[in-house]
Amino acid sequence: MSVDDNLSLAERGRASHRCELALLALMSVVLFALFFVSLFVGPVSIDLFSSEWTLFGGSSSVAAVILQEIRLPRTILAIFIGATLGISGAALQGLLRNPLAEAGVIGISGSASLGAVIAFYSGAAAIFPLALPIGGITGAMLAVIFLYLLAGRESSILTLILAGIAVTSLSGALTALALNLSPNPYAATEIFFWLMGSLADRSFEHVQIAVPLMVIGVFSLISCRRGLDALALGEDTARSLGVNLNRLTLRIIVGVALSVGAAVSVAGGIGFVGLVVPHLLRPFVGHQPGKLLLASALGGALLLLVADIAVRLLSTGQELKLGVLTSLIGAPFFLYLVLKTRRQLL
Amino acid sequence: MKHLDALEISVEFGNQLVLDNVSLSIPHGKLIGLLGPNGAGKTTLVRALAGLQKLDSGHVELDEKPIPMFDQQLLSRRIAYLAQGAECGWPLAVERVVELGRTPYLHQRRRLDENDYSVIEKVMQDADISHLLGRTVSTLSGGEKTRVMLARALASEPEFLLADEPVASLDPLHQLEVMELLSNVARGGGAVVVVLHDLNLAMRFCDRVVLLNNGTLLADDVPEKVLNNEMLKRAYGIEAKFIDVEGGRWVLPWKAI
Repeated sequence: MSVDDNLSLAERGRASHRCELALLALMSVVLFALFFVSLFVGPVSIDLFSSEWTLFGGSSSVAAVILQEIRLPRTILAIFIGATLGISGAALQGLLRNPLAEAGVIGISGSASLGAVIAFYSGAAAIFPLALPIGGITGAMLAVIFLYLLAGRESSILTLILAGIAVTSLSGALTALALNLSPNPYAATEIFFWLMGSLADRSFEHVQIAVPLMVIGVFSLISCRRGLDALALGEDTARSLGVNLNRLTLRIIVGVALSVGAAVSVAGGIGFVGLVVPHLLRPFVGHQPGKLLLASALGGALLLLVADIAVRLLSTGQELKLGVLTSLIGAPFFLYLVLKTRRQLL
Repeated sequence: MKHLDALEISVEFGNQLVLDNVSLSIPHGKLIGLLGPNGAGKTTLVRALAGLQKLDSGHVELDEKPIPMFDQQLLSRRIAYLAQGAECGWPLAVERVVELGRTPYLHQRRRLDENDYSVIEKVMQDADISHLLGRTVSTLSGGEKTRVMLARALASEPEFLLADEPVASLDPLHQLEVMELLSNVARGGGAVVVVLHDLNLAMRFCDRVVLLNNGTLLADDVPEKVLNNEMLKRAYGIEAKFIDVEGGRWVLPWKAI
């Protein structure tokens, strides 16, 4: 929105605030509409105007079961996982002041994957279905504790990145080791498919485990918005503006661990959402890292829901994995960002 | 009387003593120039005064109360710090950057109010950046950027402004304007510590000059008593010529010794 030149600063401020609210409202409306689209897309067609189905409780018709037990949890997970991936990306980019930062960078996704892979490999997942999410969240939490001990208090953001690289390499090596040593080729195949990331065949059990943790994570990240805005001016300046950097870093790491750990444990590795979404939305919020948080949560939810609907529409026979689709779109985008950032540096 | 004091502070980086037992008192209403050769410890001293530097010994007190005992947000309303060559990590609009200077006051309130905006408007005029409204910081020249960052620091209405080389990248006009602005802040009852390399700006505008060399305090007095040949030789290893013009004294670095 263009702003008239002779407006006062306060009027300009209010105008740009209205623009940002309009963007959030627009995304919410589209998300609401896509929620219903998602419920009616799948191999079994369900009549929108049929009286056979209800979303909550009651009916035991086939349509109702498909809606309630297959498509509803899948849709809810797509929205929440997309939101956590989007906001985590925005928060990490704000913290590291680097548009290329993503949950993967500080090792939390990798460590969460490792936790879930261990649950697979040990056979615990076969006996006890909750072992998988518990493994993922434990992996993410261990990464957080490790990062905090390694990068510690009073340390720079660079130390955190380096610690993150160490965590990523270690969890990657251990994941490969698990695949390598797997005595059962089926278990290895299962791990391999799970690492690709998907929302197919998820139940309300997954929703119940993951969503509360993701909500806590998102609130933790939203509480960082003022600190992230000030951090745009560098660590010293942010501290001189009253921002407690240690607390801010901790809140972001815990928020990302909870939300990404829970997301990875129910859906596997779904990459690049946290990279693409904040980048696309940044111009609409005046590049302010704080304002970007909520917008990226909504944008991430939108993108992942659209991607999951696309996966269902495109698939014939073997379903295309959601993580594969986001990587196919995200990886070239990452390359484009690298080139663009490099050009700015030159 | 409000004052900010460094009491026998020492800072080590590895085995290198960057600040060696430095004591300094900054009263209100004064513009204090901090001078010294590269690597003398000026930036470390300014960061220490701002409460940003971990000290190996000694402490910094505001009104006789050690800095770490202050609530960080209350402290941030009283002391503003302008980092050397301050950059903005994202391509924010100029007014968004200046608005960040109000962060110390945004505890419970969600948005800036009329009072915040009138302060922002005033400091933007003071720093001569009103015409840059709506411009993206990353497209500005070095001097314009510095003035935006200075406005940001002033926007928190600090009692103590600690500015690390704010005039280094400015043209002569804006050097004079910024020094006059800092001088006005001091006249208005605030205290300003400014890291400078320009001996003449220090001589003309500063009420006091603090000369640092190798982490030790060499001199702390009115400019005329600090900027003499003996001190300049000890600190910078130069010989200078002094010229008296219009009641003022000008320093001309003449040759290396």
